[in-house]
Amino acid sequence: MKAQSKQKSTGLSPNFRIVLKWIFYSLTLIFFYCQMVSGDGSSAKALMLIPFSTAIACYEGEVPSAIIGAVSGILIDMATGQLLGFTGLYLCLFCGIISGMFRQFLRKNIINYFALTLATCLIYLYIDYYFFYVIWDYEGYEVVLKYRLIPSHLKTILLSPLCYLACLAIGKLSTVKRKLELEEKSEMVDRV
Amino acid sequence: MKDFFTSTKFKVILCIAALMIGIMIYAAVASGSVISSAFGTILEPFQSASQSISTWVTTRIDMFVNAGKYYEENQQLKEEIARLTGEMADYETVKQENEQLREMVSLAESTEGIEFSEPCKVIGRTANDVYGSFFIDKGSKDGIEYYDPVVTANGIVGFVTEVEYTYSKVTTILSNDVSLGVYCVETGETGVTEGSYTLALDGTLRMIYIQLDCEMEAGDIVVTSGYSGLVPNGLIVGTVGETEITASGLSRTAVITPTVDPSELTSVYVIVDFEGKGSGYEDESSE
Repeated sequence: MKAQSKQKSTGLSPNFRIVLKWIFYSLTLIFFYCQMVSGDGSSAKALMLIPFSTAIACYEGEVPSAIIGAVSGILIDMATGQLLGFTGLYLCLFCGIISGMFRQFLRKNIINYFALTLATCLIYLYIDYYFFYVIWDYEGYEVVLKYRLIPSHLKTILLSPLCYLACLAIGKLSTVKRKLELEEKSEMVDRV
Repeated sequence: MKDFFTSTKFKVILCIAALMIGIMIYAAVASGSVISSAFGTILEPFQSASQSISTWVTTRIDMFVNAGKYYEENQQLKEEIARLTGEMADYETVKQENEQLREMVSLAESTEGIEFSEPCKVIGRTANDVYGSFFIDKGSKDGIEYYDPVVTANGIVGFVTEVEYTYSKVTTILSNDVSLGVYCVETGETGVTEGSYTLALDGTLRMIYIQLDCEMEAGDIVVTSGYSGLVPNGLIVGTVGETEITASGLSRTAVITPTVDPSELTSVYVIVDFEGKGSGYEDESSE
C-alpha cells in the first residue's frame, strides 16, 4: 500500500489551508480580546485566551505554540491592566511545554487537554493572585479572589472544551486528507 | 525528551521567554510601552466595534427581559410627574435654594479656566478590575496627558493613568492608587479620599482624616479641594454616607458614594488644562 496526498473536494491547496488556519487563529485571538474588554465591567470575565492558546498547543509545534502563547499573554495583560509580558512569559513557557508533552507523551484528546488547561488556569490563578494582590497587602484584597478571580477562572475552565473543539475542527479542515491505495492498482508498478 | 532540550526549538522558546522578560522589565520601568501602543492601535477599531455591539445587544436584551419592570417604572414615573406638577407652587423656593447651593459649591466659578477635551468614548473596560477602570478613545495625539482628571457632568470619575497614541486608560477614584483632597460643601470639613477593594465592590470610597467634632451628615456633598494641583477645585466627588471614628480614635472616616458610576459610563471628558494645574507639586522637568 502506498500513501497518496489528495486534496479534498473543496480543491483548496495545502498552503491556502494553512493560511486560512492562521487567519482563523488570529481572528479568534482578537475576538477573545474584545470579549474581555467589552461589556459593563461589573462582572468577572472569562480569560478565554488561556484555553485557546493551550488548544492550539495541542495541534501545533512547540515554537508556534510558544509564540501564540506569548501573544495571547500580552493581550491578556493589556485587557486586565497587568504588567505587560507577565502573562506573556507564563503562557509562552506553558504552551511550549504543553505542545512538547502532546508530541512526546500524551494522546490528543479532550480529557488530556482539559487536564492541562485546568492546571494552567489554576497555576495562573495562584501566581496572578499572589503577585498582584497578596504581596501588596492592600486592604480587603481577599474579595478580589472571591468576586473576580475565581468566577473568572471558573468560566474560563467550563468554556475551555469549546476552544478544543474549535481547534479540532479547524485542524481537520486544514489538514490534507491522505488517501490509501493498493499498489496493484497503480500502473507505475512493474509487475513480473 | 532529552533531545528536545538540546534542540533549536527549545532555544527559540527560551529566546521568546527572554523577550517576554525584557518586555516585562521595560513595561515596569517605562511609563508607556511601544508593544502595548502598537497592539492597542491595531486592536482599537475592533475594541470600539465590539463595545458598540455589546452595548447594543445588552440594551436590547435589557428591553426584552425588563419590559414588565419598565412598565411599572413608567407608571410610577407618571404618578411622580403628577405629584411634581402639584408641587409647582414651590418652584420659586426650590429655585432660590438651588441658586444658594450653587453658590456654596462654587460650581459656576470652578468651571472657569477649565479646558475640556472633546467627548471621549469608552471603548473598553479592564477585565476583572474591581475598580472599574476603562479605556477611552483619545490619546496623546488628542492632547491627553498622564494624570489628567476625567469627568462627566455629574462629577469626577478618575484620572488618566496610561496614555498611548490613540487611546488612554482611566483609573477611577474608587482605586486604592488614587487619593484626592476633598471638602464637604455644607460644613467645610476637609479630608482625603481613599479606595479599597471591599468598598469598591459596593461602588463607594472612604474619606479619611476628618476631625472628630465634624458636623457632616449623610447626604452632604463632597467636592475636590484642588490643593494638589492635579484636579481643579469644586468638582463633585459624591455624597456622604455613614461616618465613624477610626480605630486609633484620633479622627473620623466617612463612606462616600460617588455621583458617577463608572460601570455605566459610555462617554466622558478629560480636563486637559485648568488654572493652577501642577501648582501643588514640583515639576520634574523644571528641576
